[in-house]
Amino acid sequence: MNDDDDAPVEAASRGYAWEARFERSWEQIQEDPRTGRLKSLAAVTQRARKRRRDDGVRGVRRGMIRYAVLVVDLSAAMAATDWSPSRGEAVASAADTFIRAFFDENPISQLALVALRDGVAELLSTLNSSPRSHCDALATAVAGGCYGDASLENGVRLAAAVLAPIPAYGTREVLVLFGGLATCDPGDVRAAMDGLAADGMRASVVGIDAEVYILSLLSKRTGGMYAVATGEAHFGELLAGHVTPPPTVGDGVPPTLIRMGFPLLRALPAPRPCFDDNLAARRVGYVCPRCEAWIAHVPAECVLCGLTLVSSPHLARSYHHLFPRR
Amino acid sequence: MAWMISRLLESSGVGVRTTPLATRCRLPTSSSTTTSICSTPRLRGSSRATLLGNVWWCLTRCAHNIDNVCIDALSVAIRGDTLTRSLRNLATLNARVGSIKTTNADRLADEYARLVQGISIQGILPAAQDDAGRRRATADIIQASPVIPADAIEETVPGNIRKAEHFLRFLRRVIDHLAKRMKRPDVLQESAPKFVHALLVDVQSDAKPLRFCSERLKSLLTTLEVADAAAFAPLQLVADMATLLGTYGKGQSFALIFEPFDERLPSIPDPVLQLCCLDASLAMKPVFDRFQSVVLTSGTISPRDMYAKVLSFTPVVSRSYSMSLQRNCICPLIVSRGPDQVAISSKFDCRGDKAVVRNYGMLLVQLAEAVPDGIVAFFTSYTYMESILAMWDDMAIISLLLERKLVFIETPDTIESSLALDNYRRSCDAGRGAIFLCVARGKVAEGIDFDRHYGRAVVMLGVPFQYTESRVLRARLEYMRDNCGIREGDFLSFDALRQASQCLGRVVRSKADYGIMVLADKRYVRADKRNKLPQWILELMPEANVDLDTDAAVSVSKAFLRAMAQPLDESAQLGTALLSEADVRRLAEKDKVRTTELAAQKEHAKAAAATAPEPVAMQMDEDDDLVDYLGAVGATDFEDEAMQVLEETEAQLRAP
Repeated sequence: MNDDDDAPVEAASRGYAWEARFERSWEQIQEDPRTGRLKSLAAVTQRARKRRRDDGVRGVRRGMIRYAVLVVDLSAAMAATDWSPSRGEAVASAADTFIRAFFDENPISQLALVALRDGVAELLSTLNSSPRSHCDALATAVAGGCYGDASLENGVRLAAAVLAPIPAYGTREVLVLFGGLATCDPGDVRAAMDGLAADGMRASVVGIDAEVYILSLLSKRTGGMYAVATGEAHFGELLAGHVTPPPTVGDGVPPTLIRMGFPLLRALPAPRPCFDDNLAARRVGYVCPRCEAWIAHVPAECVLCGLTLVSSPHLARSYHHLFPRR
Repeated sequence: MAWMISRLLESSGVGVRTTPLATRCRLPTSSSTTTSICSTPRLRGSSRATLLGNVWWCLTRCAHNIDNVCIDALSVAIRGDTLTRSLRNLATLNARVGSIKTTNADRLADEYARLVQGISIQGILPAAQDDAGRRRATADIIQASPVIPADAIEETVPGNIRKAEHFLRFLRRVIDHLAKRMKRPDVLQESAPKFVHALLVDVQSDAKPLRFCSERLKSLLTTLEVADAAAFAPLQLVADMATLLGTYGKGQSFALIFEPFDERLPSIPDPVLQLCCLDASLAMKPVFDRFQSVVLTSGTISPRDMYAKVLSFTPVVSRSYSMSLQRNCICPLIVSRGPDQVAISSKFDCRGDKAVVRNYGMLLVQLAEAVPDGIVAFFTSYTYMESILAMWDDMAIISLLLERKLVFIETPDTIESSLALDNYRRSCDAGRGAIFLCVARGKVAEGIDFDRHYGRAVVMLGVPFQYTESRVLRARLEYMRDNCGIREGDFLSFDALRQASQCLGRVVRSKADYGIMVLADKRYVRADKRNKLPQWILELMPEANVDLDTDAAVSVSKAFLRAMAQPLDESAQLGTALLSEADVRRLAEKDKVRTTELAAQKEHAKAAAATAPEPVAMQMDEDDDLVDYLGAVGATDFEDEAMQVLEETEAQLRAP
């Protein structure tokens, strides 16, 4: 069971033998100094990895509907080639994996993508629940190159603007992947952080190679986590730790009724343009129960009437976060 | 720390009264100048006048500069404009005396009467009046005199300076003589007796009035009810010099050095007459005499035997403690070569070498790339810093630095430097990162901390030797070579390493803090320099981190930063770096047992004294209880006080 969980990660990093990072196989075993017996550290590291993924807290209520903004640093610091092929591309592929795992684990959540490049923060994709659009947008952005300064303040402000209209029942999060050691801001970054904290948005940061004061301040002020990755694999692990929702702080939100639609899969005799797929014509799709719009993928938000459309397996998937297994 | 001091004192069984200064000490490193408990007011910092009663311990923190402080306390420098200003002061005083004579003549008459009877110089009567106590109490009150109390004369003021006009005329003659001596175009270096002899011949007096100059002037200022005593500082300086000359003019421990201009700037006339104290042990003597135990503590006292030689005392206990850390929170490195393998150094002959300067620049640039937030770089002197910055500007290294972090520079001007420091901190707080370039013996190095993100790395560019051609330093080195047996090279490198350690210690202020310490000079690799670093730095510097080149140093720093960025396991610290609650309770239990033991022993001693009144010759070794011994010989008064103080300390321990 344990091996199955880690198999996709290992397979992705395998490739050709000469491309793999230099492996120190002698560090996988440890000798007991007194008896001289050998012990494999693989089980220990695996358990530690699992613990990190859950961030150590079990049986705690977590948010079910997450609205997250992923802020990716595409500044000149990410053009460094100490990770292969470059930091930016390695981070982008880790983010790719993360996005897919995120929607796998939290089907009814939504994600937005922001890039920090050349001193500005660009919104690569708006808040939606389609992993493919996010991954495509990210790939295009990374192909555009990594240059300029990263401005944390602009990224934080843009994320706050994206998350501002979200109602209180969703947990609002910002996840920053920062590869540099400094931020070059036009205004006061601490005021932006205070704004986040005041609105109850949680900002977590995954950094690379060194602890930067402003990032640790951001995570502390807003109640998030700051972790620094020592290598590519470690970066992927830290990112995977954010796939499960963070524990709810305090009493959470008072119970509210959320209107949701449960469309059924229908097959039409003739193709019909879909509203959420750039009007591409499809024969198979979903019909919104309220406005009868033709939707290609679910879970989604109906383009016409804004109703959250889910299917019951998705809801069941997220259910155990709200009512944790004992 | 207060707890630890109380434990130390209790374990020796001596009665103690902790002064506020003693309970404020910290381990292991401390910034700020020396503040010491001493009855000589000219020692910088606090002159605690409230030490009445039985104070047995004197605890000094930041004592690494104590020899410099002792020297400065007994040295006076007089510049050209000091004399002109003091002449002006004299004129003012003459006018004041003239006016007072017409309006309120009995004030002067009172002062005269007081001086004749010799009751008190300042007109302040000491509190305790019995003969034995009076001597000590006067020594404790803030003294007007710049000399150490043992040498302060206890006689009455001599007749030729008792009257105000006569005294002012005497001062005038002294100032005229000094002005005459300072008119020479060349350098003068004389021993004190020769100078004093010439002075006395010119002033037509003997040495005794000279000794009273300072006190007499203070008394005069008090009598005339001068509101703005600070305006008379030049005159007080001259009076201090006269007093020092009169008191110490006979020995070889003082030298007079006159320089018409500073050698580094020969075109600017800047006459300075300096009375230099060459012997640091003079000012320490009263401290050693007055207190039963003196403890010198600092984070960077190293090597310890040098202090013993300079201050001429034999330490009873000489210990060096290391930090108890959970993880190695400092990363000391010695970089001796640049990426092109050219050795880097701040030696005088290497200073113009473009390769060396470029290597220093690239070291800083690569560190700026690898280290987040603030970096502090220390240069050995202002002139060196300016020349290096000019060359870096030509090589476009400054623009490389600016791409990564903002650059701030310390200047000799205080306001500019404090502005620079303020903006440096703002830049670090805003996440932009910054580099602060300052000088190893400047104001920033003495007082400012760069803890947490304000200083993640400190770089010492070169070895901060003092200006070795300075005459004052040469005189002092000669004296130490002849009298203390310290070689000049040893002392100079000791002083340089002491300064370097002080600079390095700026970045780490707590156990949760971490920092990289880079010593960038090939001379640090040599064992005679490296071994002078304090133990807590040497312990955390493995052999592999000595003699690195720039690239290796940067990769070591990166690995260190990666390790430090990982989360700290709080629970693992208990027992090693922190005391857990159980540990504290256990130690408190031991204290309680100890105090009951002491009380029981005292009872036993009392009973023994009652039955056998003749004194018993006891063998005193270090572990013997002093209370026990004194109890045996019947010194009951001391016991009572000791018990009372022990109870007080116990109460202090129990209180949070």
